[in-house]
Amino acid sequence: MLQSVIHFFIDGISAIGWQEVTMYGIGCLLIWLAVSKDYEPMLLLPIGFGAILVNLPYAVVWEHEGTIGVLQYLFNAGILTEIFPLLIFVGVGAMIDFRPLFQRPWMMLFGAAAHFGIFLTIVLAVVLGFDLKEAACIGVIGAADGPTTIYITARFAKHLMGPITVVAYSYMSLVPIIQPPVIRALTTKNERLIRMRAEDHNIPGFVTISFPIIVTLLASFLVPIAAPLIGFLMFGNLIRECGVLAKLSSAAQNELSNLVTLLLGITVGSTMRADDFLRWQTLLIMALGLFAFIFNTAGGVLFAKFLNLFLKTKINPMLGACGISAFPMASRVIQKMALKEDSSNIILMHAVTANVSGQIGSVVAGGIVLALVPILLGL
Amino acid sequence: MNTVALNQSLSLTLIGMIVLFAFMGLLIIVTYAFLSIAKRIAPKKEDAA
Repeated sequence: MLQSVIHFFIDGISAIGWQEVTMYGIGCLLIWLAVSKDYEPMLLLPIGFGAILVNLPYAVVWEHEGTIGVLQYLFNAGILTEIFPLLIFVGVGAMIDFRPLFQRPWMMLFGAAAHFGIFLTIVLAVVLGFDLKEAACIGVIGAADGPTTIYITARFAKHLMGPITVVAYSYMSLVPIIQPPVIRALTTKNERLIRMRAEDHNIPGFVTISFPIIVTLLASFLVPIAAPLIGFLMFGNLIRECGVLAKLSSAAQNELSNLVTLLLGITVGSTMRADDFLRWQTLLIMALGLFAFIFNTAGGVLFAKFLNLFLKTKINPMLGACGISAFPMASRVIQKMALKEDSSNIILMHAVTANVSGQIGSVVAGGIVLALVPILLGL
Repeated sequence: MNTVALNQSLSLTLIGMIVLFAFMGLLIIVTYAFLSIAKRIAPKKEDAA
């Protein structure tokens, strides 16, 4: 009897090893980064706590004696079905204002150029031993688009969901640290001082309303598998722009976004089981994710410099770095850099334009990856 | 190194970037078209007013 009682009390502690304790440390680190450093707290804190929960004795939150636990239930219902990232996209779409894009549509090219790093990272990941599907998930980290990254990883490499998502959201919060050195290395002071002409055209309502519909149609005709991603993003935008659904728009931006983010975070954290996370592959994913961010930034800047070879009125090449999806962080970083060089150089609206086009570009790039990888594997 | 996978990733890079630029280019053209339609409609509405 006494032995049973003692066994009851030490059973839990005896079930954990150094791997689980390490994961408690990693979970606490993510929580600390969220709380003390304000690094994407809405995702990193729930992920951190989810990582702690799933590494508790016998991982009861995941599965217990043949019954699936609450976090596995949420994972199956929200991540495997891809519902969580798509619902977040409704909220993201409702937060985007495409008006700056209509002032200078040509800047959508930066939304393409600044995603070159995705593909370069895929090549590097393959060289380092990942298969094409895993490499695709790792490459998409560079897009700085959390929902797209989760969507693609749920399709191609569920077993890497934990490390890829943590790396993606961590680097998204580090954009102000990652981008400036890359931009300074690739540009001269004179280039950083280039001023951009301000434009302010009146944009009629039918343009802002029809744009999300047109983008959805065009993207889905070209890359049908991207329809859920682009469709939900543009649906959110349509709710915002139609002018008659203020309550739905507000709900999408606030209640829906916050609720799904809460569930998504803790569910992603639950994929960080010690035996899946504590591998050399996780370190490689961290390195490759950083590479993807750096080369996306470099791709945008170099494209702007390339355009300047042919243009009379030069573009400030720093704007190319805004073509990633990290909105509005990337545009603020570039404006800050411009002000540092010249305190009267305001290029924020141009930076926002490139940043917004990056949001479209990241979703389309993700759709292209989703479409092409199975085709290439089948050849 | 897996040569087949490397070739696949290089093909993905080439095709992916071409398609991405093509899509953005198409979107730019469509956006300019809409904006020019809007400009034509706007003066007509002002005349009517």
